[in-house]
Amino acid sequence: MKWTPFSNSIRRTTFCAKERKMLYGNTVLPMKSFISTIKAIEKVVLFLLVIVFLPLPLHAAYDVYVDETMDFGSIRTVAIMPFINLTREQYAAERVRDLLMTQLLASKAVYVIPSGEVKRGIQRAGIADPTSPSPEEVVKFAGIVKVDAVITGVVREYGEVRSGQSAANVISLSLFMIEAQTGRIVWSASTSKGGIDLSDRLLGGGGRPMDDVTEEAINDLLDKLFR
Amino acid sequence: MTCLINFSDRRGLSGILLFSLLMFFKAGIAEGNGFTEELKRHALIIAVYPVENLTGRVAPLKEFGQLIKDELRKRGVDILDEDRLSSFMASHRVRYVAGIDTQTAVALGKETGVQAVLIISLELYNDIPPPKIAIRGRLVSVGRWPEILWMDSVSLTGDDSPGLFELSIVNDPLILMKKAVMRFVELLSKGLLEVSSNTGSEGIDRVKDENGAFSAQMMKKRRVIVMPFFNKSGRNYAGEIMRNHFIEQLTKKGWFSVVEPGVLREILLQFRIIMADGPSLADIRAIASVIDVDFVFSGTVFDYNDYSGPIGIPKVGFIVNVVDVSKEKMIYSSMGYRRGNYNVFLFDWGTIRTAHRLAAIMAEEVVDEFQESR
Repeated sequence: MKWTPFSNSIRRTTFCAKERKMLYGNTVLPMKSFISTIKAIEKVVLFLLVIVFLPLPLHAAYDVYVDETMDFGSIRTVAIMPFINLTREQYAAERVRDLLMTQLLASKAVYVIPSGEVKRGIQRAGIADPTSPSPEEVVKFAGIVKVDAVITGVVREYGEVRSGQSAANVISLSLFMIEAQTGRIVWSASTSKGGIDLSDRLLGGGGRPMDDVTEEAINDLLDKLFR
Repeated sequence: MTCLINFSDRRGLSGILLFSLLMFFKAGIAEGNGFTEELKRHALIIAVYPVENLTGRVAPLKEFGQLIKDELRKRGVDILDEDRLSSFMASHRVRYVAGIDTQTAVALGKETGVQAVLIISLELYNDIPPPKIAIRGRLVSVGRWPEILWMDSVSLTGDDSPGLFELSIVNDPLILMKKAVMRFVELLSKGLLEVSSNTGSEGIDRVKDENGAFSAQMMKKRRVIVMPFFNKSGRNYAGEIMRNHFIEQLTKKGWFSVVEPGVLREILLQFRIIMADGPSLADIRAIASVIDVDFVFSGTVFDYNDYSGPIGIPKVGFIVNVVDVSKEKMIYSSMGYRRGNYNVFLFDWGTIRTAHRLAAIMAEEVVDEFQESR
């Protein structure tokens, strides 16, 4: 007979029940009640674990969008548009954009055109708001600067957060990759890094430098892109 | 060999120490005299431009300039008279002292007979005790193709070497200024000797042929232009300072020939190039149509923070990109962010107290890495 892991576990449970019956019969022993209490506790713990850990994979699944029909291997050159800055830090968007440019180039997966060339393309394409271009504008722009995809982004949070006596740097950003030929979003991801953790609360300190946190966030996004 | 000195005899020991000290100073003076004689023998005539102020605040520029000139004269360097230089600058309407363009370089050489011009910038001056000072200078040849012959910088703080019980802390900015100038002039004197020995006894013009073209040796080096960095830090002139750091490191390493910033400025003005977000490929093409160039450095400074007083940590953060002109592609990109205590493990040993020094270290690392990647 062929045993699958599932049927194996049923067999094992049956064997345990038989064994119990042989040992204790139909009488209720103090040991039996103890075992049933343990079983009940096990069930509660399992239930709690499910409640705590179930949302994690669900959450992870929803912060990345990938167009399944897109061939990402065909993307060789990209342009990074200026990002939307929703923070109070004046140059947060520029900092993140420049770091993303360096990290993308360092990955050697794609070539990123210089930011001066992006600016020239924006001017020539007549894009009024380069932080959120329309599909038509993307197509026109990509034709001018000769890129395969355009990356836009939003920096939602950048800088120090405080909670009680603790302070730490935090970043939250989203990126969107738009295909040059159609102007469609083919990939999108968001991430949040940094913030106050248990060690910051217990031991104090100002957390990690902003650039380290930014680098970590960008690496996380690139991992999601090249996954 | 038997030791004839009895170290238990105090008189004998102090006598030996005194004798050693005298010999040491004598040797120093003799060397100094020889140095001066050597400089005089080469008879280079240089013009010293007024000091450029990149401190972002009021600074004693004239005093600095005068002190440097006096020290150079003491060492036997032939300097163009201030009045002659002033009248030349007035007649040619030269107001830009951070560099020298081709026209001015040709006219300066012809009209005054100088062979090189010394361009000095004061990049840090903070007189709050302990004071902080950073000076940078470069020697540029005059003629049809101004070339950077030498470039170096000095940055000092009053608490660089506090000594035992902090007795060696310098709180007087004037003393630190003199110390910085002495060190700067020493570096410059050595640089002048090096330049003279490289170019021969006939002077700097030997570098070029009769038509003003570079010699084969000079042409072997790959030519680089360094664009002014975009300044997105809170510090005034951080972009210019960062550009100067890169020019200095590229010049010092000797692998590349860096285009004089004055010449680059002339070209940017000629083509009316206004960069909003770094050089575009069209800008680079326009520049390359005028001068032979292999690489274009550009970048952005995000942090360039110094501190006042005794407590604080400097911070420097920048991004640098390099475009290969022949390929029309970005070939190198690097981001650096550091604080002055990045190398400290114990008791503040190894703390870097000025953003100037920190940026110099970072720029050197980037230049080394870029060279290795070639």
